[in-house]
Amino acid sequence: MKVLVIEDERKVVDYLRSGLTEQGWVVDVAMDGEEGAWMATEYDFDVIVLDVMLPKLDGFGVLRAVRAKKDTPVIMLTARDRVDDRVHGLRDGADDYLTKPFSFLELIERLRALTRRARAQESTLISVGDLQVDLISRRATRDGVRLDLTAKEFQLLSVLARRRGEILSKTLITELVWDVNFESNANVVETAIKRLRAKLDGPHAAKLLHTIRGMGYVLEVREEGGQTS
Amino acid sequence: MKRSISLRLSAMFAAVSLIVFTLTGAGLFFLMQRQLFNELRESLDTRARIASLIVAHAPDVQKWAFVQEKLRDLSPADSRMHYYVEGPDPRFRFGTPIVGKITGNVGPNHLLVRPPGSSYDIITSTFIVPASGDRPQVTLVVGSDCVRTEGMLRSFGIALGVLIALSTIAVALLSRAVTRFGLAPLTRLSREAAQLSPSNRRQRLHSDALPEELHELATSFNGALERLDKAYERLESFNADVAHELRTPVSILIGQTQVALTRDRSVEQLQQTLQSNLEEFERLRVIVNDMLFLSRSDRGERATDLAEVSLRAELERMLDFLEMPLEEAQLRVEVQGDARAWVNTSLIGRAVSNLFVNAIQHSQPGTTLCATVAPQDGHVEIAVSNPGEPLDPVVREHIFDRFYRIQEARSNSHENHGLGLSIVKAVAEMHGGTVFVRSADGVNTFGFSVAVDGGDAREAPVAAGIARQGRAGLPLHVSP
Repeated sequence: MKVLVIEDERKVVDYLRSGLTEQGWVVDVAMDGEEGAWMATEYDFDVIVLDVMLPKLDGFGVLRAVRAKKDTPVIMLTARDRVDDRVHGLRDGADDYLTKPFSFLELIERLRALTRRARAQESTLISVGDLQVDLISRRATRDGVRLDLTAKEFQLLSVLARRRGEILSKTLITELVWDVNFESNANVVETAIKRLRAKLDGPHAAKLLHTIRGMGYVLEVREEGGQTS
Repeated sequence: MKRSISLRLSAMFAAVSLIVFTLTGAGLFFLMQRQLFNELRESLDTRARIASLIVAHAPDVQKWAFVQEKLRDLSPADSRMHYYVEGPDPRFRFGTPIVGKITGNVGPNHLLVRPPGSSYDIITSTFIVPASGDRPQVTLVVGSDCVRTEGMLRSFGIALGVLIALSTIAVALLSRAVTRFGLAPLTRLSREAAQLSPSNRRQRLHSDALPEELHELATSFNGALERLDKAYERLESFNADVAHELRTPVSILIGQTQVALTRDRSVEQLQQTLQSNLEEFERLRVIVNDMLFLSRSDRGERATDLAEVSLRAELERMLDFLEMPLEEAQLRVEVQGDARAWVNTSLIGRAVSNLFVNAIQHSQPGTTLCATVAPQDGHVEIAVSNPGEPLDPVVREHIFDRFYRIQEARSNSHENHGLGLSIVKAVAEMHGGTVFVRSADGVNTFGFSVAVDGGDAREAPVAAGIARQGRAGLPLHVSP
């Protein structure tokens, strides 16, 4: 997957380049609006990350230039949390936006969503190590023993299982499990994870549900016990 | 800027006095004119009567010669007086007719005649002298020119005009001085106002020493200053709070990073530092996003993407979300009432969730919370009550202020940065409502209201893209 990052802040460019490259993206960078518009129209990208505040030509100008020729998905980064900016961007054909400061995980999630053209046919039976999650009969078993989960706990587990190996932020989990799209300081995710972990990993030596401090949670098999804080 | 008040006033004074002076002058002029013409007419009549007596006593031609002599004697050399006798018999005539344009009629048998080439009139008096002896009836016309009278009137008129002009100018100048003097309190007021500066915010205008017209102005101005001062103060302490709030994570970040870098550390140790850094950064991000959200409502922004929903359903949605924390805190929740309103469901959810979180933090395990939806006139009140110690009135007044924390809550400041209830307030204001807090009978109630019709903000989603996003109208990364 090729991504074009149009951003003039050197540090942001640096971490986006290395972060996205590590995630398997091919990253091209443009440091100003004119160069960005030229690259975006001249070459083919799967998705474009576009800052609003840019030298020479601002993000909206770049977006118009791109939309005049192509319909590459564009995600805009806005510094100001103003509705006008968002409306402006979306009306001109941006596909999504993120308000700075944003988290890298969130950006990855959005980029994946924009490029995942009709998610590959999903299996209804997911296995992670000795864990089996059956999305249709809504049953989960570990090592052949059925886990006694509440509806919400099962939903949380299935969200984690579907994206096994991916770090899911609390924001994303809140959105996918409870359909709540604001961050809450109510410790909902922490509590749910704690309960799920007790049922899922409690009796087992090999832990599957891992906390990535400061980032979120991931469901995966780790070689040597892994890190669960 | 408009012209100065004193200039306008003196111009108006001058205009008024010009009108008054002109009217008075015109009155005087016409009175004078009448008097002078009456006098002129009377003296003319006297002369005409004498002349008509002379004519009447000449019944034959011999006597007529004497009449002619007499009349010639009566006509002075400067030809100011004219005598003219006309009749059917050429022997009984005298003088030349007075020719000219008739310009006025000033009495029963008096005419004003303007001879050609002259700029003054001649006033004539006409008598009919009945026939006597040989003499047929004749007409006697006596004329006197008005040079003196009209000349006098003209110079009087000119003098009047000059006087009026001079007095008007004098009035204008004097009234300029007078209005300046009269407006001195205003000047003083503006000088006083000019001295107001942000460095001395306690300063107010001295309204007592002002005339009543300005008193009200000064009082309302002082009121405005008072309100600005309050807002300024709030902003100042808000800035201080923000700085304080940011200082803790920033100093943790600097400190632990420096500690990590002073020695060679294992990968695990460095990872731990980075993870801890990340937690602090998250905290900073949340604060920054919340501040941005609050500043949106400060700017008077209204909620968008409104939908008509049952507020009870929204409450229950949030209860579903908060089910586990409520269970952990061993709290039960009763829901009462229902009403529909036009709201942004995500913003309302956020406000409701913050109310519940607040109640969870301040409730003892085993108690029951009460959530109510109460329709009022044009508004709907949403409130969450929890049993608890009565709240101090001072606390009640400030509980919705930013970063306001009751002392006990400061201990867990890491999770609770004190913006939760001010976000409730912001959401209420974005929906044309307000917040309230009640404390009675061992129950504390926190709540907010929303306008049933969504305030004046109800409108269709702005762009199709927003509807597709389904969340574009809301802050995505803001937390309660």
